[in-house]
Amino acid sequence: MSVNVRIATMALLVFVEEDRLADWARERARILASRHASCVVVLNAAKSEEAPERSEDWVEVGVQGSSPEHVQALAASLLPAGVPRILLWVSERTTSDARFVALAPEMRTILLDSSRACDDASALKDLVAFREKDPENVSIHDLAYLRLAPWQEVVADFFDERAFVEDLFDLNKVAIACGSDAEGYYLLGWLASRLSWEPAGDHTFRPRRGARTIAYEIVRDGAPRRVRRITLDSRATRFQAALCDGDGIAVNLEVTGAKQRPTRVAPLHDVDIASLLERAILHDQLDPVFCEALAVAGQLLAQA
Amino acid sequence: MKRMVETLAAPNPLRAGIESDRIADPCSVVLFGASGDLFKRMLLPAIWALRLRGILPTGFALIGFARTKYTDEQFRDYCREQLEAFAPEDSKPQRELWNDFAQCLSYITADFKQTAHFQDLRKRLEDNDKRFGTGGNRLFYLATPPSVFPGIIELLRRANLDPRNNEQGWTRIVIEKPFGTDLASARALQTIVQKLFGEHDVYRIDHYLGKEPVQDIMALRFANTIFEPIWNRNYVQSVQITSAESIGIEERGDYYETAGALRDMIQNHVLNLLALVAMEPPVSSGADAIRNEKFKVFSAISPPRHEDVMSMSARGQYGAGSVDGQKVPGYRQEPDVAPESNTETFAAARIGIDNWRWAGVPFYVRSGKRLARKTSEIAVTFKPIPHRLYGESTDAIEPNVLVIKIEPDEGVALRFEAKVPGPKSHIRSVFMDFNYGTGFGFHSPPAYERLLADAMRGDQTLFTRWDAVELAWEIITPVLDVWQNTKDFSFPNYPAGSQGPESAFRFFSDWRRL
Repeated sequence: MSVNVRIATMALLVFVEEDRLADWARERARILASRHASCVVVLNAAKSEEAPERSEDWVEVGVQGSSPEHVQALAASLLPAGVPRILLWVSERTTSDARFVALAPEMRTILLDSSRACDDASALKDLVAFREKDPENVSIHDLAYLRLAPWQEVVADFFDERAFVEDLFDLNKVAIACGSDAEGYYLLGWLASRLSWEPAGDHTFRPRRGARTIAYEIVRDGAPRRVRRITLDSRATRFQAALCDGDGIAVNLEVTGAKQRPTRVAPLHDVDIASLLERAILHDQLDPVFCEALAVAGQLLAQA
Repeated sequence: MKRMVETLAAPNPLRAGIESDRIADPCSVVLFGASGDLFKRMLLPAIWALRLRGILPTGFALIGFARTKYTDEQFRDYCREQLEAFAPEDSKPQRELWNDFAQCLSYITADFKQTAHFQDLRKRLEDNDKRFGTGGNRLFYLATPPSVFPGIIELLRRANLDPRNNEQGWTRIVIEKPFGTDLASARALQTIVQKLFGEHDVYRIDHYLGKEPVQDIMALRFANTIFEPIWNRNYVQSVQITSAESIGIEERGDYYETAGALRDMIQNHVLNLLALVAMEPPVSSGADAIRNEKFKVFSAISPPRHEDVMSMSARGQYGAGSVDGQKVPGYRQEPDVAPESNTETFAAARIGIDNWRWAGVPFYVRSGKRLARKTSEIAVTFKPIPHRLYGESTDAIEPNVLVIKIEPDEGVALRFEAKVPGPKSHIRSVFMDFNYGTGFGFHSPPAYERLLADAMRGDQTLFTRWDAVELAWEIITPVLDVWQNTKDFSFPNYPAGSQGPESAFRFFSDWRRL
């Protein structure tokens, strides 16, 4: 009883644990399906199993209380063959969930969001544990990390100027203000992995070569899943990117201290969730930069 | 406000591996003709969109260079007004971002014949390098009438603004189509251009090539295995390339009177489509690999003999008629058009490609204004079945047709024959129809966005190379000669809103219906 398909470039399997997140998940799936013709199967763990609700390229079925084996068999029967299968997993528990483990091997790409269902780092810890167990096999993408792309861009932008390269290797403090934990750990993990810093305990990093330390802090400020500000201090200069007041489409880029520059305003290129999902789908291999950032984030969480 | 930026030569470790759309080098863009229609409707919204999408580099400046008198401040206000009018609804200038962007805009009120104004331009560019970190990189964009191209290039030379006098960065020039008005004028222009610019610095723009479906022709052919084995004379009966418009010449009578459909569309847009359909697989997706193959296609097309022109081509001019239920005037009644004009608004031709793959396969091309419907498409018609097994005697078994749809629909359709359900064996044509709009819900970025970004980052793939431009002129020159020297007394010979002139159907009766 697979989904009726006219044109399909992929099959999108959405697993949603809680009713409060079901509309969010449906909406993202709908946008994604409108951009890449897809058949969509929604497994709703907040609803008991009844006859599937079916429209043309869309099926939704309740899986409340279903065993992992049953969920796996149901997905297999509903998804059409011959097109790539993508799992969008929306649940507080992620990779420690037996249903996730049952579904994962059938998927080409897995998308999850470690700061969607919770604002602490529990889901991120779960993902770190899964990656340690299964380092190679599953192409997995975390929206909490993908959402940081515009911030990675503005931070990198500071150091495109030749005069600031030496400051990049002289940083002694990083402060991140964000509305949930995963984003902060990912940004720290990304910076540390790019700059060859290792966690040294007590909220510090140490470069692999050299004796200095780099202090870090994550401050809870702003809306969940959103970064508000990142500040990097070298001995002589402070680099700060902070959301402009208003609707968050632009950031102020400030360089103060010895090498002061006039403040600039840059577009944040805030990418919508559907576009992030799409980006992950189009790059169906594991992103090594993500893997390294996640590994460092895991080390920081282990020390926290 | 002063922005002292020296851009990074060594790799920035934070850039490694992050997903970024930023593709352009730091640069100053000089817009010759910045008070004109092309700038305000197309180029400025494209540059603003690149800014919003993060593709413009931090080190960026735009200098408007035109006759209209503006101060820098007035030019910024003008740009903002034009963006309010012509940018898409979701890309209107927002306060903070606009204020930041506006600092990068400046203007020189200039006479294109005054050396002193080009010296002012050089000084402004040098200031920009210091102020905005544009690194000595310069992109000159000629958005002016073609008649002033040679004068601008000559004065760039006198002001030492050519690549040889720029040791710090690159200097590129973007030249709008048409590149010349015939073979002789194109060669004359090229002689002037090549005195200053190497071919790798010249970006001859044909915005048609920046359209997503045009780029997809190569993906269809070379990212699939099922088409290429039958993409040759053994299986293909003919190829039709159509670029039809339902609009007239609008306010461009002056230009169109000196151009006509053959120069305006066939010499560039249509022949480029033909090259993409007919070329051999390039050895890579690099600019020169692709342009080499396109050049080979043009090399394999023999220009027609003058005595054959009338039998392998047709021309037309629209008279008054009706389009979309509205009465519209004939071409000769349009503003700035001579009452006895001999300019063609429709051109069609049969072209042969003399190579191993295509020998004997006719390529029919047509383009015209005020036709029944706006349509751009390529239709590849395959040979009929060799032996009839199915179908009632009254059934026509049509050949398979693969249609690459470019405008207004974007997609691919395949016509094939199927049995009508029931006890009899009736056969009917059916379509398998893929639309990008339903397959991928993207809105393709306007062609100018793509092409401007490509010019800034030095990718010439979607720009035409001189050798291909020259051959394209050579191909159509005999037709131009005959048409110019022979007045067509039947003009106007097709009513607005029709399928085109009867004469087009005399040398080929199977044009696809518009």
